Amino acid sequence: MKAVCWQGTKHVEVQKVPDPQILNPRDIIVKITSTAICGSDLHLFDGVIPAMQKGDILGHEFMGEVVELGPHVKNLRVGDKVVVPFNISCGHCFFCHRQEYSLCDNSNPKPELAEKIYGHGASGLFGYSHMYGGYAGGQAEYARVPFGDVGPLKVPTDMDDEKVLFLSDIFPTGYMAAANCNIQMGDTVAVWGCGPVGLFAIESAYLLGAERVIAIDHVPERLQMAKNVCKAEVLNYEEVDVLDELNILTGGRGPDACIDAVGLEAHGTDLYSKYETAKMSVKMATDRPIALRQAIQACRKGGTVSIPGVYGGFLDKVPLGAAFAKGLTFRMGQTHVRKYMEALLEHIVQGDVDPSFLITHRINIEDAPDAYKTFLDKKDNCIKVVIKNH
Amino acid sequence: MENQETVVTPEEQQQRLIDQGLYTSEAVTVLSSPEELYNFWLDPTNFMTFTEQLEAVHQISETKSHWVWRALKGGKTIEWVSEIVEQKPYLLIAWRSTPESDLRLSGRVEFVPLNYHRGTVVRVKMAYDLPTGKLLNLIEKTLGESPHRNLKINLIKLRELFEAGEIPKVEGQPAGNKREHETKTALH
Repeated sequence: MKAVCWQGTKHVEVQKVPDPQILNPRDIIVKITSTAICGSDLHLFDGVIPAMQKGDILGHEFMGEVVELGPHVKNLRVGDKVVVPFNISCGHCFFCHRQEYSLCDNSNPKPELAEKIYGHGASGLFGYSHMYGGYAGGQAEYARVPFGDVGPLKVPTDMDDEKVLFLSDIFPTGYMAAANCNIQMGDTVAVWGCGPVGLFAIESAYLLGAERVIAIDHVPERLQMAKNVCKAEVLNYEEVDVLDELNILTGGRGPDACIDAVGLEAHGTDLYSKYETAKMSVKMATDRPIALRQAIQACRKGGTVSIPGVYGGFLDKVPLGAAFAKGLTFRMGQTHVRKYMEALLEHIVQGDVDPSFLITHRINIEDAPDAYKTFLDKKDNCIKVVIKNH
Repeated sequence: MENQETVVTPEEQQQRLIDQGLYTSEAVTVLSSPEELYNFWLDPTNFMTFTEQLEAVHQISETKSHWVWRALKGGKTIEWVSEIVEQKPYLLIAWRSTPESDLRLSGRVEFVPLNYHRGTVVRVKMAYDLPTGKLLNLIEKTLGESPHRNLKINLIKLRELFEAGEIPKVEGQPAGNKREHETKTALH
């Protein structure tokens, strides 16, 4: 089959690789019909996530048709149409029982590295470095899905892929970011980053009862989508002083919750951002928490900072003093995708949200290397790339 | 907790079971009952299902079993006969090697149930010794493995087997760049 293989910093290739096989009794094999490139794949593309190896198959947002079942998988049939969560969960551990699927104890065959760096290993992820298990990803024609009886969500066969594909990651990720804000009646939520996760966070904040959502970015077409499609008020951080503006917009109190949907490779206009970009480029820093810093500064006293954006290592100059002084709550982490899939599918079926709005590029798998570059450089108004097979 | 008395300190453990050598201990929490874990542990053939280095094991008598351990690197083997020396149903099992073995080892596992369905703590202590001492050197240089790491990884695999019913793996999955074998698990 064809698969998108990581080759090093800013280099991916489409290669012919063997088809996946059932390796464990709870595995299934999915013939992939649609698969997407995620903003977090760009961190791999940029080479800022450790423990990648040449030849690793990328991709963790995919769906398709079940073509083979391991002997212990009883809840699916060959021919079922499924959306696969990006995290792999056993369904039976302490964490899965609490629906904390991304913290699954038993799905990472290589927990040692994460244990050394983070204290404990997290769940396995598709196509996301050997720290997360080294599982082959879904930017391919087929994928082996371990614990296939837990993660994959069966969707109606007549449902358009584009409406449900993002249940694999970014819709639940935006939704969990908003759910983590503990939104109350009358709340204002500020969202840094109007990429796919930020846009879904805006949609979700409204679904969960936010009165106002203010979105911050600098890419014109993303701000436009946040404003026109997702109905957020928008701020371009290159044009206004974000902290001043948020304060004015919220009557001096600050947003009740702030969502950092940017993560470790944020851009900014202040001196710190330039300094951190330089440090990261010579590997003296792992992350540049520019959006996070602003979110902490902006958040109202007693408010919540929710972090769906990915961070990988040790952060410099995070104003913990401000967070402490203001009594902030922090919520973060990889999304517990499976926890949210059914409720979000229902929202899609009911017509509350049509996630396909953010697809700007539909490509064949052969064009993936170019699409990575386009997406990274945010050229050609690129917001979301979907790879269509067959 | 009432089972606390079964826990001994490293010093006591070393003194009780072996005079000198390498001491290692590790613990894992498994969502299962002490009864199930205890019964599983009593049957040495069960260790074949989650201990990758174990080449063969067979029961000699109710308390004695013969073990063959193969290093993952280099493939050298080491053999011993293990004898259960202490047994308290659902609480602890202690064993040691018999004199005809390649090495002297002793071990002890304790099962401590947690309240509120939080599972059972499986706490293992192991001590190894050789007539010449320097066992760590032997195992790490000859076999290329660290006893503590092996213990930890194998306990994780035990948990995976009990909770998930299988041990996660990536060997055999596809990869680009003509990689012949998928990168190894942490054990290798």
